[in-house]
Amino acid sequence: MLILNQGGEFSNVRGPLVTDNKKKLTLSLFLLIMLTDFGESLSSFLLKKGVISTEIFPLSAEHIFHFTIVNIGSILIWLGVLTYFFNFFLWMRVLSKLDLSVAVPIGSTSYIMVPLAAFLFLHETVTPLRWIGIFAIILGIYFVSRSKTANDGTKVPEAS
Amino acid sequence: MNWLIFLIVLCELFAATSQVFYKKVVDQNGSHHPLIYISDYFRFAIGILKHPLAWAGLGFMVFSTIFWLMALSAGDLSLVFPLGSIQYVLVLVGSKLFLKEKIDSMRLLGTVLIATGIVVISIS
Repeated sequence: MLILNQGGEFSNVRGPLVTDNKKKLTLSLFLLIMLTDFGESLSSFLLKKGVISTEIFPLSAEHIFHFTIVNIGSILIWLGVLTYFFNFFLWMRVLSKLDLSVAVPIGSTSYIMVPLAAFLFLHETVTPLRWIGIFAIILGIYFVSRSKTANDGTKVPEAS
Repeated sequence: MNWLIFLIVLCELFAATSQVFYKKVVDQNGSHHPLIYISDYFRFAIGILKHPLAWAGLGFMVFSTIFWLMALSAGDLSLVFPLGSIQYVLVLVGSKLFLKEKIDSMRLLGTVLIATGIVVISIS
């Protein structure tokens, strides 16, 4: 009961402060954003791998029911959905610490990581035009991370 | 071709809307509290799930994904993927209008560079 009261007081006192916080982009937050990017790719991969397509057009209750029945037993689908939800909470954590207009642009790291991984590990060739695109994204992420409210942040209040 | 562009714009508009909703949820919940104990994690997750806007945001995301898959299956990929980068512009506009975030020139320039880079990568 005491803990509950403290909890209530806690959020009442600190609630209004939330909008005043200047949000600071730290390395750990940046890595968390990259993790959510990876999680998003992983969940799409699992869903894509697991889905057994059936005829759903024209859209009818019967077709959708059949599609559901065929796919509901798939472990890959469930893993994909689970990954999606876990990732959703990670993303919410990122958003609670950063402006939306900072978090979303920086969340474009998968556009760099996928071609780079293909280049490094699968020895695929990357066309010059693609290198230019990758470079533009890296530069863009750097600019966004240098933008004013992303960086001159005041301290987020610590737990007492 | 025109309806395909309309479909993609609608898809990205829905995705941007859901992001704005998500941001509203965590701002109103005071979800920035440090996560130390396992109970903190649960409180964080439950606080989000209790908020109607989180469900509205997830709903928008589901429809956005459906529209995206429809566009992918119906359209020319070299048109669909580059157009997808308008999401970055829409999120920027949404952050400014509905979340009152301050967009300075660095952030604007950076976002435009990222969107351009994605267009370049997806047409090459």
